[in-house]
Amino acid sequence: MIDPEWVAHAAMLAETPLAGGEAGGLAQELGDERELLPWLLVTRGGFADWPETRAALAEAGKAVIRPRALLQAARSGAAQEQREACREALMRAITKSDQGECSAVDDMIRVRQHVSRRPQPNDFISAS
Amino acid sequence: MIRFLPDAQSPPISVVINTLNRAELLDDAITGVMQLDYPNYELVVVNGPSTDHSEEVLARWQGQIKHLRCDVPNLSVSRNFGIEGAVGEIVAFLDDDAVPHPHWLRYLARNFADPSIGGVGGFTVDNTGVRWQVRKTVCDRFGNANFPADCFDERVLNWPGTPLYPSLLGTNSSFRMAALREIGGFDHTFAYLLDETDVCLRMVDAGWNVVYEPAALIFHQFAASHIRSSTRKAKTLYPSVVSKTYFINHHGRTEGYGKVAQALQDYRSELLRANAWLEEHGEISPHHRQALDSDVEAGTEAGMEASSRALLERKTRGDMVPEPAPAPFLAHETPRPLRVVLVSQGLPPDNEAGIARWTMLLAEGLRDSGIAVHVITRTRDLPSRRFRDGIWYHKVAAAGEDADALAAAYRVPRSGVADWMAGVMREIAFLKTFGIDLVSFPVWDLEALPVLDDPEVASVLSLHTTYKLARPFKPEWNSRIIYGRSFVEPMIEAERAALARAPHILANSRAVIDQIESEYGVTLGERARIVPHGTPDILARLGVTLADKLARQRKGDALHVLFAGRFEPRKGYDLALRVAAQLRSDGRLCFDFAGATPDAALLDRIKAEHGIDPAHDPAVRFHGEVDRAALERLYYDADVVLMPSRFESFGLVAIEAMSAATPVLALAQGGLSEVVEEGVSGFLFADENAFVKGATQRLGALAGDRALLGRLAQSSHAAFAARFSDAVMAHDVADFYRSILAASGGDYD
Repeated sequence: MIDPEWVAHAAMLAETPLAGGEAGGLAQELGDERELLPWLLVTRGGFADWPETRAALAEAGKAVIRPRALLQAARSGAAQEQREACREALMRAITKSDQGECSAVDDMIRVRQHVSRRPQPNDFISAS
Repeated sequence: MIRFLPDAQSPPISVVINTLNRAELLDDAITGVMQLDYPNYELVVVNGPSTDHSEEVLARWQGQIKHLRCDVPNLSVSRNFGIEGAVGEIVAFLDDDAVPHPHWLRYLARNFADPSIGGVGGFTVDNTGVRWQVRKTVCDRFGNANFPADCFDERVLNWPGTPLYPSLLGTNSSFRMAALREIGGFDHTFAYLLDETDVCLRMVDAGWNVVYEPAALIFHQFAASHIRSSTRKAKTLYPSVVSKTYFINHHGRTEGYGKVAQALQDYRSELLRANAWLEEHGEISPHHRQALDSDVEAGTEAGMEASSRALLERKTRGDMVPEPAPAPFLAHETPRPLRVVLVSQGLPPDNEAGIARWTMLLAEGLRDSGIAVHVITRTRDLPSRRFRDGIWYHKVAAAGEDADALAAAYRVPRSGVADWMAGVMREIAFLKTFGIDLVSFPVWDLEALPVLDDPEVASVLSLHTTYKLARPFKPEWNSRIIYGRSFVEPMIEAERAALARAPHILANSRAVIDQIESEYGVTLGERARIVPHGTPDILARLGVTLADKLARQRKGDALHVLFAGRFEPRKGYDLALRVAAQLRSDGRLCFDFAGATPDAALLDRIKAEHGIDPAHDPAVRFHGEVDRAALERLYYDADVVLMPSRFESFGLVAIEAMSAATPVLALAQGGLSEVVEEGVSGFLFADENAFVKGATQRLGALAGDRALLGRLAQSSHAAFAARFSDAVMAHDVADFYRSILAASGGDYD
């Protein structure tokens, strides 16, 4: 969400003032501050009296990462990051068990034959 | 979770064994499956391409198993054949060098009650039988394994695309048939290794759950194969490298190509490093290492090619082609076998003493009668559990830490008795998980005495020599006062208490019952069943016939007379020597003494008392201690056996002689008067003097009457076959066991 006041202020600087309430709608529609400059230049013909500035800004606008590509990349990166985080979390859970944090439970399993009314076959195999 | 599913709700299961050149172990694997306690299962064995006698083993099970063949040495192809020939709702895989716990299928099956479960694996015991090989295993998408603790809940890993998933061990895995069909079964690229891991991963990716069942046990032997030696050294790495390379490329892409490349490099480096280490440490030859390194290169190339092809073909399924009309379910019909435990500290071949040998013969005979048999014996080194030739052997150690309680409760010596008893009882606790019905233990040392107080299993006390019966022939027990008071006397009292309350008693003769009732002042009455000892047919074991022996005797060579036993007064060796002394100058006879090596003092006494000089008397030979093969040969070579024992609870030597068609001259004492039939299998003499006089006369007569000798040989062997063969003994003991359990409401095969 872009700040509507910032949108209105930028539009004034580009000599393309916005109608009342338009700034709020535009802020919501664009969603990313970097979208405003191409919109003012292409859609509204902003900076019309400053041709050199307009040309420079148009060039700069082309270099801006397209929000959709950015979003895709961000999603992909996040997924990979999340996947890695998930894998690491699972590995931690597994190695935690390996490192003896579950040993109390394992010991309990091992000694169940002495306390259970109906021991299971696995109670009698040595884990050491 | 419920313990087991009710029989009516237990899904039909097809057990599949894939075998390749393991004929020596295959029969035990099949026998183990046939002893499973599960209401609804069939066995499918896929053999091949074996070059040993596996087909002969399988032919013996014709009609009881589905027997399929596989023409390529590829485990996944073989497994898919097995699935295609199976019609159970569940398919359970077992290796050909593994034996299941009897409740294996029951524990696996209870998990399949949840319809989301596609695969269930058990825990696998290694070839010691007492330690784990594998419990829970979690693999990543490169096929690398992690081993979490038992308390790790693998269910959290069951979601499509998971980076880590439960991976079951092939020899202890089971899958829902519907899930296997959905994913196309096994992928044939996995000729060996990771075949089951691939199935687990594809099953989880398809939305099925794969879980572990810790109580579903398999005992795995790790036999040698075409891939590895019995010490687990690789003979070839090629199939493993193909599988691993393919797996990493095929499944690892989800984790990113960079990680795939790293995983491949790590795997390759690790193998090459391991090969170098093995060569440097003399574990493999340079030539072997070179071959293994070449396998790594060739396998990597083949695995890469296979994974590229799979990528181009968008392969996600296995290679199973469902059989449109598989053979109908071949349900295992035999009811649950009677399961018994025999206890004996010693066993042949290490121990050929009476109880040890009787226990072994009985175990083999009961096995042949269709009874599931466990033998608990004492280990000389490390404890172990093995299933060999259809019998479970449990080699256990004394358990000193539990001995105090038993020593106090049963008033038996702690060291040597209670500690061993404690070890036995620990194993019996384990065997209760097998569903044992009955425990039989010998009166000597009362090895499983506490079982008399256990309401969960029936118990039989078998009568052999007791401490009290042996005491008169053990003068050292009286001279060693502390030993006598602290060990022998408590044992005799414990024997008395056990004899007074044992619910079932197995005796080998009326004589031993009478003797024990008289000596201990107890009444055995209806609790006791007499089943004479049995022994194998020595003629058959030696590969000879009765006609061979009769033909030899007709030649008229010197009459061979044998005494087999220890040089102790109870065995009456002195009486045998008196007979030999009287006849040694008769050129028609010669005497053999076997079973013990006389020391110098005894030889001097023999010379002084009987005039026999073993070193110079050609008619009298002392063989000393001989092994079983030599003893059997002596029985066969003998024409008459002397058995002047002053007391024998039974008289094993007599029936061994009869099995070799050799009649017996014996004192009418103890069990011998029940074993030796006058004029049929020998002759009995009322007392010692009568024996010496009568035996001397009989031997002289037989030396001159070969026709009479031949008739006695024939009738002795006939009497053996009718009453004292190991098969007759096992049949009668099995009948006794079944009658005990029938009386308690059991229904057994």
